[in-house]
Amino acid sequence: MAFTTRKSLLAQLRAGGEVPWREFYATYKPLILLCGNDCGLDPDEREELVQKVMCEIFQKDIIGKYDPDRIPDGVVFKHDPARGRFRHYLRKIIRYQALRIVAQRHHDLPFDEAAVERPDDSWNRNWDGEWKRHVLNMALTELKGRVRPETYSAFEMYALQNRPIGEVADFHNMSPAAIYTARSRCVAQLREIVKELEDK
Amino acid sequence: MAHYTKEELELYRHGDMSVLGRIKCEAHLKSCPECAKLLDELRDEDHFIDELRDSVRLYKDLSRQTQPPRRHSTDA
Repeated sequence: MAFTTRKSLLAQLRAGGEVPWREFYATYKPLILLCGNDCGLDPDEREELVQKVMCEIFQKDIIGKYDPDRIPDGVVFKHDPARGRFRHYLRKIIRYQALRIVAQRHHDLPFDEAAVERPDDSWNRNWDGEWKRHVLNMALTELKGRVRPETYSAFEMYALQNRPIGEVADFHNMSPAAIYTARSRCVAQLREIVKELEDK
Repeated sequence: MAHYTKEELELYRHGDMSVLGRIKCEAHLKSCPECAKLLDELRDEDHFIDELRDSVRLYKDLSRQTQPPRRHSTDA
């Protein structure tokens, strides 16, 4: 993955900036799939949820016009701040579309639109968890642009891949203490990035 | 005695200190709230990393599951 120093996608969305649709799609698809899983949707329904959420967000027939994996760079999305915070806006759309899919599955179940506005505790808990995972993944991508490549690599091997300290130190020609320093530095940076990314 | 650094405490908690160094560090931690706090911070970092690792693993698994099926060559 390329190291990036640009402003994060979420920060751009919060600032009302334009973001490439292709990048948006790739970034938010896992979050939507996991939310669909939490709602008890099957794999086909989860894919359907992604398509419906994306269609609603873009309010254009993007999905029908382009193959999601081959969307031109020029196609961009801009969040309208009048719709509220992006995190809450997205959460509401995902819940609305997930409930619609569940209602479709049970033809005898009428779609209760008011339920979108009164999420239960388990939905809230699941959403908070999925959002946290999403932000942590974004923060990790962001971290690559903020620390030296060898620091990131040492962190990745030692902290994320759980490799033995001696192996990581030998590989990077660093002392174990330097690997520990890299770990602490990366955790501090990640916490800072998470704070920046969180849409409070 | 001077305080321990984070790196020294990492060596301590991972058993990478000499026996004498470990005994000294253990005694110091009992009487030094600042170093004990630093040790707690390291444990807190462990917790953060556990959450990060789980999140990354979940997203990787998900991306593997949602990869389009590979085409099989028919040239052979």
